[in-house]
Amino acid sequence: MKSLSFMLVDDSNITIKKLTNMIEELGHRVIFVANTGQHAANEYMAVKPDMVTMDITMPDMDGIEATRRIITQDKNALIIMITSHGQEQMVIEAIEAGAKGYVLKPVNKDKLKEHIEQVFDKYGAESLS
Amino acid sequence: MAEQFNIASFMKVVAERAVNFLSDDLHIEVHGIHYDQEKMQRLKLRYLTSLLTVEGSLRLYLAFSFDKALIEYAFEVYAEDIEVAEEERGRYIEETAADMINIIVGNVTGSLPSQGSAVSLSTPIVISEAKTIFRNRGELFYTARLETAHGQMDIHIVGPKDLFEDQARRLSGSK
Repeated sequence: MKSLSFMLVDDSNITIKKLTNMIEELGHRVIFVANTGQHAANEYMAVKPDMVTMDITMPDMDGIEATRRIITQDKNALIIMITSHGQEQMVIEAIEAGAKGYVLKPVNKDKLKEHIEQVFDKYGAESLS
Repeated sequence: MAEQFNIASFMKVVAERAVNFLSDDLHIEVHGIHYDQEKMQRLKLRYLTSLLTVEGSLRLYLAFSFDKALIEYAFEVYAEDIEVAEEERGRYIEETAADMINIIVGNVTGSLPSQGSAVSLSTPIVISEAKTIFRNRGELFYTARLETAHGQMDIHIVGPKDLFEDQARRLSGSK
């Protein structure tokens, strides 16, 4: 698959660094990092990444609300939730908000690769056309 | 509803997820778990403690309290694939404690009563050095103590007293 540009949204600096390593090892690029949902929603259109990884529990605006706001700006945004939150109802809320994938932490490179490819194969054509 | 919730079972789920996370992700084996319902007015914390609130149809406070050697070893393994400057080490050790409670508690939110709505977690906060938590009237502490070769980790749940009575006694004892 082609090399994708990523926006990472997470309030954990360790998670950001680990995800950055994995994404770069998979041949992609991290072009923007946001530590809050508000920051991500504000900057999304200026950054316009190919894909977004989004945590749920963050200060000032959670990842579900940030996903809603990004989708109102770009209905084809490719957002993968990467979160510890395993409750089924939360998965439903994330998908209803517009997330295209849901990965449970702790995440490893193989799991991340699988979800990136799934989302790209299913939605990438219309999003990146 | 509170009456459908079993605090002892929930503690067991949290403790088991913690054991698996320590083993699978940090290569730390737990060789003993001790459950206890604390009747004390205050709870003494260890070297570093992360706390968060779980809110759904009921509100619970959870705390993970670590011995110094254990959280430092956990950090070394958890962050082994990233570069951390020496001056940032303390902050990243605190973040390791925050990530651990977030991941472990987040992973088990499916076992909480939700009444059809999502259970929310607060962002974790971290308290350094040993401190003491005083309980409010009407609340009780329930604790699981995990023993490892690198030190001990306590899992505390603070919740309404009526959730604890009778239920907690079922889990008293050791692994």
